[in-house]
Amino acid sequence: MKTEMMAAVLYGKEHLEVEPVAVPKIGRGDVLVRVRAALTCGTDVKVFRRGYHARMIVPPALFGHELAGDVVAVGEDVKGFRVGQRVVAANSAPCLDCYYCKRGLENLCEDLLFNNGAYAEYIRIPARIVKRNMYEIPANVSYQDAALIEPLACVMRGLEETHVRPGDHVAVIGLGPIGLMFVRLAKIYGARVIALGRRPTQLDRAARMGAEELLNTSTEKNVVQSVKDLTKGRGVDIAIEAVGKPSTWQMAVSMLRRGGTVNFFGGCPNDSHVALDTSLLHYSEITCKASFHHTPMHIRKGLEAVTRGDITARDFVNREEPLTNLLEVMRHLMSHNGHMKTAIIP
Amino acid sequence: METAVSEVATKSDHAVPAANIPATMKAAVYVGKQTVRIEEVDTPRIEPGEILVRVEACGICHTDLKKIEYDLLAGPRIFGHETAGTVVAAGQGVTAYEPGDRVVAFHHIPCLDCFYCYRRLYAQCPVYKKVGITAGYEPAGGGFGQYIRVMDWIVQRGVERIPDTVSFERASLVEPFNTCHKAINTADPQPGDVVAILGQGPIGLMFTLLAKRAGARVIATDTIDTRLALSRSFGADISLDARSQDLSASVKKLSDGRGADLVIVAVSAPGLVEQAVRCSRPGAKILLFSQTSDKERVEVSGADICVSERMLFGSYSASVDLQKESARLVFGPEMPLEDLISHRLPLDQIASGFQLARNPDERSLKIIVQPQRWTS
Repeated sequence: MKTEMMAAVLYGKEHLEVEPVAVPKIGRGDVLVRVRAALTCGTDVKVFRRGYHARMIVPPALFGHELAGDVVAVGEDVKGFRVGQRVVAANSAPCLDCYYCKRGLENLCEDLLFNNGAYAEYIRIPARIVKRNMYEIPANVSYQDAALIEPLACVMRGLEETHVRPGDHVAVIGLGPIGLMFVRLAKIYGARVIALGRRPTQLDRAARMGAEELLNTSTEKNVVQSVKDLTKGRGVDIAIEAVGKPSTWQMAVSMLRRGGTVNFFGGCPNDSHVALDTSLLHYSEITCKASFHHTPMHIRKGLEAVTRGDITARDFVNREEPLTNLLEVMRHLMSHNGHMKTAIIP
Repeated sequence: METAVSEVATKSDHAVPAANIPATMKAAVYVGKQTVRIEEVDTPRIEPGEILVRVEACGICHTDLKKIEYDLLAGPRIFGHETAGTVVAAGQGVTAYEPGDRVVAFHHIPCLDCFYCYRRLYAQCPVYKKVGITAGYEPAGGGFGQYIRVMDWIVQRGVERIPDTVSFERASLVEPFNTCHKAINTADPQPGDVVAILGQGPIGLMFTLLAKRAGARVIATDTIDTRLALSRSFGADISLDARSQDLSASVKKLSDGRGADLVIVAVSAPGLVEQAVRCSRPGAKILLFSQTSDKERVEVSGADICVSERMLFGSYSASVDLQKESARLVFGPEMPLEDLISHRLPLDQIASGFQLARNPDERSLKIIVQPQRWTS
């Protein structure tokens, strides 16, 4: 067993190094995984650009959180996993014992345990994640497919929280990987999707994911009016903001029908503020929701969806790069919009 | 005001029965004692606010069969309530429809203004329980007659126009589709749920389409091979032959050993509700859709409901709230509903249609009567 490995360490704003570090030691309930695929995520790019994240990671730290790989060592107390198994592990696990966990809000757990370090040859999966949020990958599912379950679980929960129903008009603003997952799932759930994006390539992808109507926000003069025109003047039942900008949060609210629900899925930079029209909110009974993170139930549902083939890496991952290129990949993703995920193969 | 009055007058001119509306017509009349006879009866007359529709297609529903078989409602009555046709006369004051319009009409429409309507339990509304369409005798739907009188509260809310591109037969599916649409919304399957649908007749197959549309995984069961095959093309992930398989064991195997999250009972047969309970996981919902006869008793273990925390519930008839959306789905290309129609029978062959609906064969599904056709 090697004692040293290559891993990405995030030091701060736009500062990361791929460098030799010690292979993590595992405790009695932990599992050591040889990473076979680690996917880039918009949140990673955000963290790289900003140098911080509210809850998930505090630099300097090992980096990366969407992964799948092979079990190479198991602690003595581990049950249900053995060396050689292909596994996928989520990036967190709740305590199941706090105020929030007892109310089914495990994503808001007071003691949510995060795990980073997917951009590395090996990663330690701590006991709590092994117990609650790690699964063997079914034979027909690839590492990259499996690594999608973390973002997918967030999206599934986000969509369920808006109580989408078959036949609903759902507007999805922002067509990165997350927005496209919303398009695909909303379509699978029977909704009629209006996809809003800035680039023709993204809109093409949204059409392939099942969007019924496409609106190019960089050429459309009045986006909100266009959305209303597509819904008999009413507005959409549900709007999903998958960008993370105060201006699109506002836009999302203004395209709702009376009694509609908005999900502010894209997190904005710290200290952002949004001004909302109070009479619109009040007299039109707008429900504003935001969704953060996932729960063990949704990780499980995400794995089921990937296993069924509802979501596959083919549609969401369009590049593979070795770990040594991570800095370049992050810089590229930061400066270019409209990208899908890159699979880092350490 | 002058103008408005004269407009109404113009409309009412249309209401004078045109020369091509015969004074008498043919209808399949339920005369009691399990007997339906083709009779010559008076063509119904309409009052102000009503319309007269020439029936082009009317589906046979299992509730028709039960009413006849168990003599649930005293004769004489003319049944048939999945009706599509052409407006041939519009009564005084009717402005929304005129002769020539192709329409479907619902025979039950609620008042929207009572205890039950405010709770969206439309099928329990006293006005809803009245039948608002008749071909003569006690109002009973009338679609198995050549002309129907559509009463005013139905004209106001229970009529949908058929696009030119859609056949009357397909359009006649709006009513049964709406009943399934309402039931699936009440049952509210969640994406990824396992939904077992017992029975893949026309109703069961519509449930398969709708459950799939909601993102559920569908296990369809039946005893007829063609229906099992069709269920898969309608979106069922798995179909099970109830003749040869232990349904509850199979359903459990397909749901990680748990049982289905929701079971829809879309056929009525002795012991079936108990089987539905056995196919379901603890805490599951079981929807009784086809148990429409008060003569039918069901037996289940109380502990399967109480201790295992299951929910047994019913859904009956249509929802006016979903009527337009149902019409849109039936008229649009999304649902392969044409595949449900297996027979188009002239009125004089209605008895063989009842017979076939009661004892379906490999080929039969939705049987539609075309009252304007006549063979003998």
